[in-house]
Amino acid sequence: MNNRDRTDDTELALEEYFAEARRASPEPSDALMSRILADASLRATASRRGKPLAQARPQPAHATGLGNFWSSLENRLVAGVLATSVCAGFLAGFLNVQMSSELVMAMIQDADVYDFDFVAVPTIEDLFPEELS
Amino acid sequence: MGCMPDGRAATGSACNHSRGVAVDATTELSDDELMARFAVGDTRAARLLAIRHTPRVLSLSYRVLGDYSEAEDVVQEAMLRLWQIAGDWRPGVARVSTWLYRVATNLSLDRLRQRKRQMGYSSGEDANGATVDVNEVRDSAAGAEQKLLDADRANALHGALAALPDRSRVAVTLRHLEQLSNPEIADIMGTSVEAVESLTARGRRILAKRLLKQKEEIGFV
Repeated sequence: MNNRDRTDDTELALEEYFAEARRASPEPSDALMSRILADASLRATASRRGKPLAQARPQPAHATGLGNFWSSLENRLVAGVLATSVCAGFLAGFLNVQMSSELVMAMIQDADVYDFDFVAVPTIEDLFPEELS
Repeated sequence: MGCMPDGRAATGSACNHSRGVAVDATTELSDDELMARFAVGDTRAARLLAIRHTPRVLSLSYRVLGDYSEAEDVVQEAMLRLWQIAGDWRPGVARVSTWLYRVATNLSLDRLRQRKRQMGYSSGEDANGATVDVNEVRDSAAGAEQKLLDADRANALHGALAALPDRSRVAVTLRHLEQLSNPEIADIMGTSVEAVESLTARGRRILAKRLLKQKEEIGFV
């Protein structure tokens, strides 16, 4: 047998080994398939949870032209009341008493009634001069 | 454990996935389409992908590692990585089978390296860049010869494969057992086609030498 024949025989024998091995490939067990599919299921669940919810936002019932007007008016009234309350609270809580009294005095000096109310009280001598003398 | 190469059920569990493959054959969905479906939460797509690819990836891992339990772990890890990248999968860029083979090959080679570190072997690189472990070849050869005496042809080849350097073993397995083309193998192994040809040729020479030696000794072919 020459070298060429020997090489051919070797190659042929090797191919037979390969063919036999291909026929005898291992198959995955049920346990392995279960593990793989459990991983897939967990992964699918995780990816679903990770996604932001594509939930539609509900529209307000009065979202018409007139409804918007009343809504904005209500909002302005509420905002005005809130601003007034804040200012009153600031005056009462942070300005000192002196400033408050001056402010009150400045406010009441303009009214006529205060001229009468704040006139000097007469003394006893003024009221009964004869008797005391 | 499951179905060994010689047909034995390792733990008595049923090896009935061939029926699953028959079911899979009825669907015309491509791997890319199945990946897209799984990415939006369709677990049936995952089942089809698993049935389609698990046997071949398991076969590769088992032949490289020589240990069924370890091969199962590698396959599970490779499939888990596939599920994880499903959302980023780009159709047409890579084939699922090639991607899985690459992951399984790398995981298997990692395990072999880990084994060697644990066993204290020393290794070096040959001219082709393949890992050559002199001690492993010597010890595995002795073990392989013993196995050849009392094993059938498939097991004989399995034992002879174990004597090959790691990368040669992967190349020979992908080329002659999984029957992939050299460019595909080069893609999977991250090397050139020329390097794949060199690795497979070298592997074939070693296999032929061992298997023919067995033939001369016990007349088994």
